[in-house]
Amino acid sequence: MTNRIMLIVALVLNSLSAKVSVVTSTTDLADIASTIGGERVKVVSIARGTQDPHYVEVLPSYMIKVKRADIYLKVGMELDRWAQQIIDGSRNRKLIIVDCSANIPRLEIPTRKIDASMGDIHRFGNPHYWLDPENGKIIGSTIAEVLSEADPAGANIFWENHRKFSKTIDSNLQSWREKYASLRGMKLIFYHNTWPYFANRFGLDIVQFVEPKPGIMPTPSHIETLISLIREHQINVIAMEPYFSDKAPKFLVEKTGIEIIEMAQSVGARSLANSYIEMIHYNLEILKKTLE
Amino acid sequence: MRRTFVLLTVIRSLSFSQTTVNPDISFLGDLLAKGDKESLALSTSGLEIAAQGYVNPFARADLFLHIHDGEGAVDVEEAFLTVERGLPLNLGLRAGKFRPDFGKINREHAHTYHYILASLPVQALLGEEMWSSPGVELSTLAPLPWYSKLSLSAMQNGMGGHGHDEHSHDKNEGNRELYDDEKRSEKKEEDNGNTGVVAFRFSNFFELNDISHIETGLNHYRAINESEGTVSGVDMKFKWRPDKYRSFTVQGEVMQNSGKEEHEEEKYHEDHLSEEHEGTTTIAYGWLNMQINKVWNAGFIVDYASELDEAPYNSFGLFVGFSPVEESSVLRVRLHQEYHGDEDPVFSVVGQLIWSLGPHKPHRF
Repeated sequence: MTNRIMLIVALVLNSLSAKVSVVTSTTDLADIASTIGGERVKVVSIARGTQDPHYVEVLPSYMIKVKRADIYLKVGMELDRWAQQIIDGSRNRKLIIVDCSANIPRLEIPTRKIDASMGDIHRFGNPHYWLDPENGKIIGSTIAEVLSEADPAGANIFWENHRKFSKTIDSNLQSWREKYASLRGMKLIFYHNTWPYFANRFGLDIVQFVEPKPGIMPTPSHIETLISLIREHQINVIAMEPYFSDKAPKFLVEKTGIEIIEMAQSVGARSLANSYIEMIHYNLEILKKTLE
Repeated sequence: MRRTFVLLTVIRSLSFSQTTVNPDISFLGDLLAKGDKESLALSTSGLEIAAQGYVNPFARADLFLHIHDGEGAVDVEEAFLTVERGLPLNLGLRAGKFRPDFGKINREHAHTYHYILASLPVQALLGEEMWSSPGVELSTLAPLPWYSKLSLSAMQNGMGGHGHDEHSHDKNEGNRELYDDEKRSEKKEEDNGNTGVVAFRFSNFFELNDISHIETGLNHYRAINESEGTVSGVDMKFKWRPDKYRSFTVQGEVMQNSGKEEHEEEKYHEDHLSEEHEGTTTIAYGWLNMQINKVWNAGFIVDYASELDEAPYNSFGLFVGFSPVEESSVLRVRLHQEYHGDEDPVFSVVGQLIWSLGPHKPHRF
C-alpha cells in the first residue's frame, strides 16, 4: 500500500515538473533554447548542423516531433519556409510558434522589387542573423520570453539563464576582439552569402561569392571573374559551408593556389562546433589559422 | 502636400497588404517531344496554374488549374480546403475537389515524375491524370511513436472518372488514340449518376536513421454501388539521402481491381475492352531514381498490367534528368520500350523541358 502511494506521489510530482517541449528549425536555436531553458526544457532540432537550412526535406517523422511539442522556434525571414508544412502536418493545436528573427536588426533588406533573376533573394533581408553573437543575445531574450509564457513558474530561471548567457557572450566578444584583431580587413571569398552578420561583427571584407547569385551554381564566366579577383586582391581564402559542392572551389585552388576552409554555419556543422559559443570560436580560429 | 502624403501612404499600405495577403501563385509549363521509328512530334501538356495560401489561421486552400494546349477550356484539377490544426483528435479535413489519399502516385502531380510519362497501367486504372473528384476526406494520426496516418475519403466520382482527361488524351499517350467524343459524353452521363465511392488508406513512415526512411501504405477503394467492385493496393517508398546533393529513391505500388466491374478504362476505351470482367486485374509499377549530384539524376521505371486492351502489358523505361538552376527549369529524357500481348515491342524516346514560375516547383514534396 505504501509503495503504491509513493508511486502515485512520484507520478504526480513528475507531471508537475514536466519539461517544456521545444522543437527548433536549426541546431543554433536548439542550443540557445537549451541554455536558456536548462533543466526545465527538452529541445529537439529538425535540421542537423551539417544540413543546408534553406532546404530541409519535410518528413512525416518531423511532424510527430512537433505534435508532442509546446513551442516551435523558427529562424524566420523565409529561411525555413519548410517549417510551416511540418507545423501544419503535426495537427498540434496548442503549439506556440515563435519567429526568432522578430527583434533582430536586419541586414540586406532589398530596396527594390526582387524576382527570380536575382537568384534566391530573401524578401525580408539576409536570414543568417544568428552568426552575429550580439544577435545570439536577442534570440536568447525572445526564447526566455516564450518559455516564461509556457512555464510561468520557471520565468525567473529562464531570465537568469539569459542574463548568464548574455554575460558569457559579452566576455567572449571582448576576448575574441582582442585575440582575432588580425582578422579585421581580411579579404575573403565566401561560397554563399551566409556570413554578412559575422563579417560585420568581426570586420571581415567579403570580396565576392563563388555563387554568382544566391543559390545559383557558379558559371564558367563567373569562375573567370573570381580568378581575376583572387589575383587582383591577393585573396588567400575561400570559405564555404560543409554541405556545398567543392568542385568549383577546387578548380580555383588549381588555378590560383587559394586555400579552402570549411566554416561552421550552425552548431554541429563541424566537430569542434558543438555549442553556439564554440561555433563562433571555431570559425574565428579557422580563419586565423589561414593567416599563419 | 499633406494630401499627397496621405495618398502615398494609402497606396503604400494597399500594395503592402496585397503582397502579404495574396496566395502563392505559380505557373508550370512544358514542351514534350516524342519520337519513334516512324515519327517525331512536339507538343505541350498546356499550363498548370497553382494558387495556394491560408484562408484563415486554421485552414489552407489549394487550387490547381490546367489549361490544355489548343483548347479554350480551363480544368479545375484540384480546388480544396484543408484544415489541419483546428480539429480535435488529431483530425485533418479536406473538402472540395481533390486527389484522395489512395496509394502514392495518386497524389503526385505529373510534373514531379522523373520518368515524364505516367505509367499506362496506372492511367488505365486511376485515370489519365489520376483520380480526382469532389468529396470529403478525414484523416487522423494514430497515437503511436512513429508517423501513422489513417485516411478515409468519401468521393462523388470513382477512379478514372474526372472530366479532366477529356482534354488531354495526347499528353502522355503519344500516338495512342484512346478516346472519342461519343464515349466521353457517355462517360459524363455515367459520372452524373455516380452513387459515390469510399477510399481508405493506412500509411506508416519510419525514419531508419538520419539519412534514410521508408514509407508503406495499404489502400482500399469501394464503390457504394457494390456491383462496381473494389480496388486494393499496397505501396512502398524508400529513400536514402546521405547529403545535400545525392539521394537514392525506390518507389513501387501494386493495385488489384476485383469484383464484377466494368473495368474503368472500358468506360472510355470500349473499342479496346468490351466485356465485363468477373475476375481481377492487377497493375504494378516501380521506379528507382538516383540523384547523382546537384543537377543530374537518372533511373529506371518498370510497369505491368495483367490485362490492358485484352492482353498483358509491361514496359521498361530509362530516364535521365538535368536541372541546372534548382528546380525552376528541368530537362528530362526517357527511353521507353513497351510489350503488349503478341504485338511487336514498341520503342520510343521522350524528351521534356519543364519550367516553373513562382514557388510551386516540379519537385516532390
